[in-house]
Amino acid sequence: MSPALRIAVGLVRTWTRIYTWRMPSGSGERRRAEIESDLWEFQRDAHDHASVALRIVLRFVAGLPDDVSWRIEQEVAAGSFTQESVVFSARLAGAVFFVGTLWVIDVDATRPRSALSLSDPATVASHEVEELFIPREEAVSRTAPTGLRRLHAGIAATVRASMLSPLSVQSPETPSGPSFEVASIKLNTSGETRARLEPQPGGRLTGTSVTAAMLNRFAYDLPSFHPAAQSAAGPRFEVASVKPSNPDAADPLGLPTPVPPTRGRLTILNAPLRFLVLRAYGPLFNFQIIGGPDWQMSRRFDIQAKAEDPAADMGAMLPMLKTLLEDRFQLKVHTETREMPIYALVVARDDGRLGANIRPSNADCSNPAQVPDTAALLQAGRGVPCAIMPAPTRVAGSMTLRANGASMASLARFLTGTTGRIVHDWTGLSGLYDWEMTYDRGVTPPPALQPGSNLPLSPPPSESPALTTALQEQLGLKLESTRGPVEVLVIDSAALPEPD
Amino acid sequence: LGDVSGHRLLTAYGTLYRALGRLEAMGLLTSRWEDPNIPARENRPRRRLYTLTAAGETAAEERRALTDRTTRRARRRLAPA
Repeated sequence: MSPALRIAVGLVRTWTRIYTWRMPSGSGERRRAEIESDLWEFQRDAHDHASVALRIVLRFVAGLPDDVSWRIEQEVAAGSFTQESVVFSARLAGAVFFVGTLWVIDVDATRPRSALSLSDPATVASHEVEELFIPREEAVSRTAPTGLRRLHAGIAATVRASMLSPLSVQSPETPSGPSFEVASIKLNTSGETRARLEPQPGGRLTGTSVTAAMLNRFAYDLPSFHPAAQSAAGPRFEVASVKPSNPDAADPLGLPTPVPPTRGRLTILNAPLRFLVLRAYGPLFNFQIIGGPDWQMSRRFDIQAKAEDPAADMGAMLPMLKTLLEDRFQLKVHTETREMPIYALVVARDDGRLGANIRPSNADCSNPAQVPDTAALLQAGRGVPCAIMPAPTRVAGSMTLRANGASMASLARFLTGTTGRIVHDWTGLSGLYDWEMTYDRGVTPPPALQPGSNLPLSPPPSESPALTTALQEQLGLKLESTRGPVEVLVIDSAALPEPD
Repeated sequence: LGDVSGHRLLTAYGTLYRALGRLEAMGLLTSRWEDPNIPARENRPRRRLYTLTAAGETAAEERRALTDRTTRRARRRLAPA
């Protein structure tokens, strides 16, 4: 184990002992054991010890506020909360955060960098490039920076990384790849504003008034640098990468890896083509996609893309995902309407009376932009307004759903997702309803319906009634099977993408 | 964690285990220590194994559906009249 890794692990262990100090043996010991296991797993396959150490410290530093908050919560729960303990924790966290940040910068400064990044610290942060000069016969040795100069380089490189195009930050490091023997980057003081970047005879590349973003596009041969290669149709990402997923990183359930949404960037990991089509052309249900190649569920891909507009939300990026699929997967699709089996949601009794578990709601759902704090409401044992959410159930294999202010159309949409058929609301009931329903979840395991899922479609049944029975007995509604028009998306053709 | 070590960053230690604890308190996860014979045999620390409950599966599904609905509403509002 390298000294950097040893220090990083020691830092996490020490901090864990500090914030679990004098805790009740159960919770403190559990947290220490979990952290110990986490550290071991993280180091297990470490090849680049400096990089792993840096990640450990970043995870440690970013989690400090939660560590302190968690300890306070535990103290509050135990009834031993005092003002002094809060002040002590805050001071301690601040001191550790400060020391940790300095150490991270120092470790970052010693990390090997590509040729362009190893330039003099004074020019690393510059966005203007005057000249790149590459004679192949000359060898130049670089002197590793030391002391304050190294710290300076670390700060400059960190700042630069935050200013450059995200592609350069996300691109895989290629320490063993080809690199320039000599690279000179200077601040442009000539006043020339016309950007120029051209390969020259003799293995030279020169540029004037070039921005770092232009260098990135040139280095990765991106379509945006070659406007002629773009198709005229559809919005597209500024940069995009499509790669086969690492099979070792697959989710044990076979689902695509969840990634928190970020404005201006689209990251989809471990996803089959079927999932990508659903995402790009949705809202659709899986059964609404017809055809497609035989590898559409088995081959998985990682997509990382950046929109030109950094504020672009998911709605703006989905059309770009369509274009990406058309470009990289040669995807051709069309929509058509087919007559298929569907369900009609109707009132079960002829007299129109509903079940014992449903009643008209008083919930105010007039403001759809108001998103409730779902986690807090669930934790408090309260229902989530204007939504259909799961409620705690003590019957193994059963699912209890609770609606506080849900329309019949919402119930029909939910049933569409769980039954695998389009469900139309033919109840004739307007307004919102509160209801609760318990049924055998073995009939409808939602993750099993996800494209690419490895979950069995038929888990062991429970003692609760099937969904259709529960719907009739508890809510007084029923599903009538019929046939009707369903809009489907037909995949005409698709091809495996060429590797990046 | 070993399976995702190729990722550039993982959730911070404090954030991860605090969130897992809360999800467990809400009944969306259950957890247990693995059989102690296994880590002893493999000479490593014991692992805490987390399992998604039925409520957790549905909560995740509903969350995805809620996001889709919000996206559709926003798209309808932004669509030209």
